Amino acid sequence: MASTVKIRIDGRDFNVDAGLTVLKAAEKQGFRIPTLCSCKDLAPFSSCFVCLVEVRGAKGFVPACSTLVSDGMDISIESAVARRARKTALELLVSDHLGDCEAPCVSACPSRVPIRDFLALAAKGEYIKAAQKIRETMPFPGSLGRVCPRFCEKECRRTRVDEAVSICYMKRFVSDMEIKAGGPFMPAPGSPTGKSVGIIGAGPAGLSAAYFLRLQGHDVTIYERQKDAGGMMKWGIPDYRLPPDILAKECGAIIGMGVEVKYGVNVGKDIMFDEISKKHDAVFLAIGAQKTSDMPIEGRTSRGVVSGVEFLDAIAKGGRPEVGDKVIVVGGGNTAMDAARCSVRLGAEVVIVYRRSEKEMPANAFEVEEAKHEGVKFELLSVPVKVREEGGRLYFTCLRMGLGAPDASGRRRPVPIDGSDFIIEADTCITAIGQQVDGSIADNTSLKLTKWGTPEYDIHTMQTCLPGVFVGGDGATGADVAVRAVDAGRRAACSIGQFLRGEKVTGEAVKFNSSMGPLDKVPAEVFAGFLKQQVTRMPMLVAEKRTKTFEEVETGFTVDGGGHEAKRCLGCGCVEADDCKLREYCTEYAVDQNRYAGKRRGYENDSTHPIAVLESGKCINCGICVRLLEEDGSHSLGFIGRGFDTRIKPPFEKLLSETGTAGLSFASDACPTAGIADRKKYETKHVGIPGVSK
Amino acid sequence: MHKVIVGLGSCGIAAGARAVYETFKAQIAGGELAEKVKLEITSCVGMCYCEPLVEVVDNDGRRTLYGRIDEKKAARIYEEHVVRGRPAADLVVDPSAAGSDAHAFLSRQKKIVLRNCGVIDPESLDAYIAVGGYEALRKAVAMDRKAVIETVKRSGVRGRGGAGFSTGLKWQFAFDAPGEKKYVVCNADEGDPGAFMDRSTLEGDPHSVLEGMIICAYAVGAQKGYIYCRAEYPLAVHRLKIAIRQASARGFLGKNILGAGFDLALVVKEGAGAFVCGEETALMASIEGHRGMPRKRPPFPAQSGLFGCPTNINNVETYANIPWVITNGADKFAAIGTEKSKGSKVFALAGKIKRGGLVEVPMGITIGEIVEEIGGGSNTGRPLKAVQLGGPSGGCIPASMFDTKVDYDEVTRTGAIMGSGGMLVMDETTCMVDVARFFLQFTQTESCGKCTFCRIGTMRMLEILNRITEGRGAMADLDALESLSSDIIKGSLCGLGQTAPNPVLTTLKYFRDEYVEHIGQKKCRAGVCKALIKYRIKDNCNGCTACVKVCPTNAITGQRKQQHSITQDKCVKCGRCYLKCNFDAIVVE
Repeated sequence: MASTVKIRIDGRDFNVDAGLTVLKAAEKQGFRIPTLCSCKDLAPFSSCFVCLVEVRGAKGFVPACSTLVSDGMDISIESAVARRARKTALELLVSDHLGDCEAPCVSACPSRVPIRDFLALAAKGEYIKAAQKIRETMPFPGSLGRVCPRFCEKECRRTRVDEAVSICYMKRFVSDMEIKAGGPFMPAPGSPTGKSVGIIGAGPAGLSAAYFLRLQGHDVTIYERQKDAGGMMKWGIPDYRLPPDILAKECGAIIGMGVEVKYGVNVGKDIMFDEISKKHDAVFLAIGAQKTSDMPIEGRTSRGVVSGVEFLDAIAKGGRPEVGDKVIVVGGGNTAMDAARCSVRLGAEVVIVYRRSEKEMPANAFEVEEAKHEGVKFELLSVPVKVREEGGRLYFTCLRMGLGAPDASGRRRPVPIDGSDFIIEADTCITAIGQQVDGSIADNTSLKLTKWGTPEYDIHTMQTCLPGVFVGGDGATGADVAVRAVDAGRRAACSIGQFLRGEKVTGEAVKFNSSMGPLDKVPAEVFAGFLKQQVTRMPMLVAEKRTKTFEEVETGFTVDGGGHEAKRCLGCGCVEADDCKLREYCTEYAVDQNRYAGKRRGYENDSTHPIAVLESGKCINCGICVRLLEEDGSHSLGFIGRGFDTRIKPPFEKLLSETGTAGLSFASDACPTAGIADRKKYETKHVGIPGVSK
Repeated sequence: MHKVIVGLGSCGIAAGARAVYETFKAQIAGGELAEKVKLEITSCVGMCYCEPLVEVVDNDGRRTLYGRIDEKKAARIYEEHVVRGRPAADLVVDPSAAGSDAHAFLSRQKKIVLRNCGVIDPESLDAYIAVGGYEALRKAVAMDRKAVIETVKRSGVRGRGGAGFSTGLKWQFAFDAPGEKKYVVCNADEGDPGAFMDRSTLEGDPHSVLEGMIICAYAVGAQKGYIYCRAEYPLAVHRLKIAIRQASARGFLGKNILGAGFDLALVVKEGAGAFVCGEETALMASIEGHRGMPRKRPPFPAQSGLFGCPTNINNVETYANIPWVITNGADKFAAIGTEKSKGSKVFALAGKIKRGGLVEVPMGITIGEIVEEIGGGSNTGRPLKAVQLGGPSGGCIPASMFDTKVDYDEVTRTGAIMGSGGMLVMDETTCMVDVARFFLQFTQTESCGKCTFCRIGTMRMLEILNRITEGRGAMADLDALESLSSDIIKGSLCGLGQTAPNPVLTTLKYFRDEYVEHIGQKKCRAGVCKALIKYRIKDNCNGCTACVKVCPTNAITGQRKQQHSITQDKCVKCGRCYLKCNFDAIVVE
């Protein structure tokens, strides 16, 4: 029988087999110590120092992986000092980690759409799977594929090669292909849990929450004021940008997963909030922000002055309001652009009056471009100060503005120029200077509201001060883009799920994310292997045709165009992102990659071997691969160089393809990061393999 | 018979001793005294400041030492002294004359390790035997093995490589370790910048190191030994190989040594230049043919060392002490030094000092005594500021603490370490932040790249120090330096990482105000950090144009015989003008 020694771990005494390492002994007793450089098939090495523990009486920290237990040893694993030491080791390791866990486009996407993966499927022609892949985090590929402001494309690494991949259009493309094939094809709802959730509002936030709650198996009832679903995507976005049948199909598909929608129900009038609360196990408030901000000028109530929200709502409901020959739109946001472009379609000449310059406009740049393209004129740096109606005609007194110092939003504050007043005439004025949340739903409840009338809530868990009541979307943040509302729905569904299961409500887990840095700081070598490829242009209706119809302006990619575009993806993001011990520990220890920011070893990628891809910038010098390949005699990899720049590479400046093949797959399996990774993973997850796809 | 002895250590050769040797050789061969004068070589006696050295031994045995000799002076010595019997008095350096430089340099030294260096011909076994060489081995093999170890233990010898572990105890562990096959290893991978103790010993007296190793092998029961010597020491390797051949031919090495029934084969293994291979586990890995990367201890080499066998590793200086200890006895050795640090210590004295060179001093002497009395103090006229002890692993000891004794424990208390013996002397023109940066840069680039804290942590510290010396530092950087230092010390496997922060920590401890000045006032008081200084020509410039001629960027302009000026945009702050100006008209601000 093996002899035993008595040790103490975190204040508890154990008898353990002599000859064990601290790491193994602790694991046997149910403790968990992170480690990167230990490998069950190999003798201890001790390089990562992520397994540091404290041992009473020892000179420094002790690497648990290579220290043998001894009688009377007093070990601290979870002490603040030991945890901090391990965290520092991790922070040092990731300070030299030249890799992106997540592709930067995904990080930029509020809805966290798995962009690389859906594009990889699209590149293989698997369009239905691609659309379903998008739906893993975002159930509106067709709608948002048309109206999203494309935060992703601004971060697209392909920009450094030629132009960003048309990610947004590709979402639409795969959705179009899916619909053509009879879709949308939704996943099956989860097995019933017997819990029910009441959702107020069938807009993007409410429907998104409904979708993810149904996936979890909860019953969902939506209370909707309007007669149709879609919220501001339906009532605020003109048909020429988002055709109603597309939106209806996507909303219908979600509702078809077993969601009950009570239309025409005005919460606070037809049914009280408390009643909904009592009927359901949890409530999600997704009420949007439809109340128009008033234009604070003399004469604002004149006949012919209407709000943008009401105007667009009327059009969405099939109305074609009389606007006369000339329309003034006040404001510079997307609602202003939509109102202007709708007015063009109603036959009017349109002028947008905006108090700052074009650079400061909150509207999406391409919306502004399209408005110009359709003949909309701009009176920039101008503000109406008075309106007078005379004989059915509106006369606006406007002032020219100069730009002063930046305000709280970072945009330069407009300052009126004395004596610069001028007059514009129009038949109709559409005001689009902002929307507000109608906080009246909170009347007679104990919901706490902010000064903007939105409920107070935890921005991570979406919880309000009332247990079981969650909030999200425009109704929580004020008017914003649909993609953020959809995201809010998903995150709320996650929190609600936790609440319903009786768990601690922590919200959606946020994983550690290593980044190669902002787009312009990524080393040029990363892009060296890629050739320029023409971006696929979106086919559009000609401008003359647009002014007469509400038909969709963007007509969609052809199959060839879409296929080509999908293949332009560089495949950023790490193939091991979901299977990386370094990332797992960095998440667990809330590691800050920038704490020790400094020089990183340069980017190197050797993808010459059919079995494995070597990316030594992601290597942590644990030497598992080196040792495995030493054991099997092939010696294909070794530590090269000295000091900070020490890397693991094939010896003598060889390429991986010039070394043996033996053992490489074991090495890539055992690698705790993606320093050396299975080439198949690149081939399934990436469209392109960096350094190879030329 | 006259004897002419030329010092042919690397230092002498570098100073031109080969030409001096050739001069004597030609003179003697071409002259009528060819049969009556013998030309010999020796190695370094330590007086690097007056190399090349030549010693003439007269027929009556009288010895005359000449310093700073070149070919011309060699010819004169031959003519005047050897031929005519009249010493060239103006060239003599006389260690016996009280008040002379040489006397001051040598009289306070205690030569144990360097007892034969500069005295005997290192390439001659007979010369070694003539001064009692291999007598210790004879004595040792006549003793019981345990008694040998006991003697070493009792002498109090501690490892001279830096850590100062009891040598006798180490031998005991190797002796006690079970195993048929055992090794002795000599660590001759001296890599600290500015350190040359081991090189001089190997070049000057290789047999003493071999003898120490053979005694050790006898005591611990080893049959094979390696001398791991850096390839950058070609003369040492050459002389070691000669010595091994000679010792093998005479039965001091090989089978059945001195008939005592034990065998030992010694091999010289040349290191390829990695500093970290001076760390014992990395050194063994390198001998085994692996990359020189340290591993966790325990197991210590005495339990599982080279090729997994019990192994005793000591450094050159430690082994060179052993024959003396055996010959003279443990008590005599233990009588020298302090309570816990016995014997002598060799230092390589360098930097802003009058008499630089190799010195061997009794333990217990103060740093001030070494610097001021043996070294003669500052060579610049400016006050001394600190000494850096122990190279990149060591630390700075400020002038205010020059009464610190040479003693393992006392030195450690200052934050420095005794180290292998580098002693770098610094005056006010040395920037302490820059010194820390220099040493950290060294250890950073020499890190084997294995441990996270050492590989990345030292890089982050270096980046901070670079920022500070470039005037981009922040006060918070000092905390970051301290916390990283502590983590690197506690979280590295080997001595390289565990000691790398020492230069930073000691300069932060004793010269924090310099760091604060760099950060707060963007000022480098020593005028070293280029980003923080400016050269300016004062109005006492007489327009001699000497500075104009040395300026590499044509930044200095002015009319002849009138005050010149420096165009700051063009100035690269190389300092050549400053050094060139004979009128102190150029200042660093």
